Amino acid sequence: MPDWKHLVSERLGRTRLPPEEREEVVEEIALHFEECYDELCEVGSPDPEGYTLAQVPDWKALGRKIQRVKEGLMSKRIRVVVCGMLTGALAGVVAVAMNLVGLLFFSTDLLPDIPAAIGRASPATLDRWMGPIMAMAGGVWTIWLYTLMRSSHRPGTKTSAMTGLAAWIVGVLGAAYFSSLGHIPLNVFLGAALLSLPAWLAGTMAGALLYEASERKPSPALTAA
Amino acid sequence: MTNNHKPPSSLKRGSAELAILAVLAEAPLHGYQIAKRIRQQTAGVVSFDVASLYPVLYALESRGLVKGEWEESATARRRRRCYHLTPEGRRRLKPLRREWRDFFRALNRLARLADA
Repeated sequence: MPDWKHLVSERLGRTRLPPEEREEVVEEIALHFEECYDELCEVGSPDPEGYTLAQVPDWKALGRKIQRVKEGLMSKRIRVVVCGMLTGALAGVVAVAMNLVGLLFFSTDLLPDIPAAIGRASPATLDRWMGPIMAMAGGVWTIWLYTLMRSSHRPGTKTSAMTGLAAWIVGVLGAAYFSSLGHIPLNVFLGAALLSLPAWLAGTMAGALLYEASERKPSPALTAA
Repeated sequence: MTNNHKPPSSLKRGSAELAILAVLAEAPLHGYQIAKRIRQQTAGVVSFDVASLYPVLYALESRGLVKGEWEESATARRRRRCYHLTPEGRRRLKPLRREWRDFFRALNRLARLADA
């Protein structure tokens, strides 16, 4: 019987996979060949080795495909975190931009006071970072929700918009609770809720788009190779 | 119009995904068993060889739909990598089955229309 492990390792050629991972791939394919060969021998095939090896017409192509799949895709957990952080960051940026546009159109007299107001509003490091941290955590949660929703609905813009809306409702309900306790003034709560809807929808759709893209496409370095 | 008899790659990829997830929904299997089970259940109409099976299997694993684990067997000469469906894979299989059922119903309707 041929030494399948040696044969597969030789034909698969060099890959950029970590040695342990490459070894596992070689072992798995060699075992597949071995079982196939044994079965062909049992049924009295005239050329069991030839038939077994015919399963891979292009070893280079197989090596490239395996490498692209194994190396080019981030794990689901990492993708959820990265795309979720982007969702939160983008939603934050859109909300700030909308605030500034609103000020520009409706309260131009307030514009010169903004830098001073920002300085006064950020006395401690934790307070300064709490907003972005909460937005990113909310983004990660939203993309995680999207991965659940796309299992029952089709992945795409509609599902991501539905997810963004669901996340926005949850956020607004939470803020409404704090507003009812008097921690957030009603006018601030209503303004923020209104502004955060388009911001959160845009952020979720962009994050979901990136999530889908990261699932299907290999990294640019691999595409170039 | 070109006369291309090969199915589009998205169709092939989708059907491969369905075939693998469907057989793994019945029981955890290793690579060779997956290919064999698909061939048996489809009476040889659908078959996977090494070149077509493993890239799809690894892609499904990267997406968290299946999980492969090395298992030591007392009877087998070597350890085997056995694949099982993850909860997410099980969730993905349901809409996938529906999509393919709808697709084949549509094709059936079209074929009947063409025969008439």
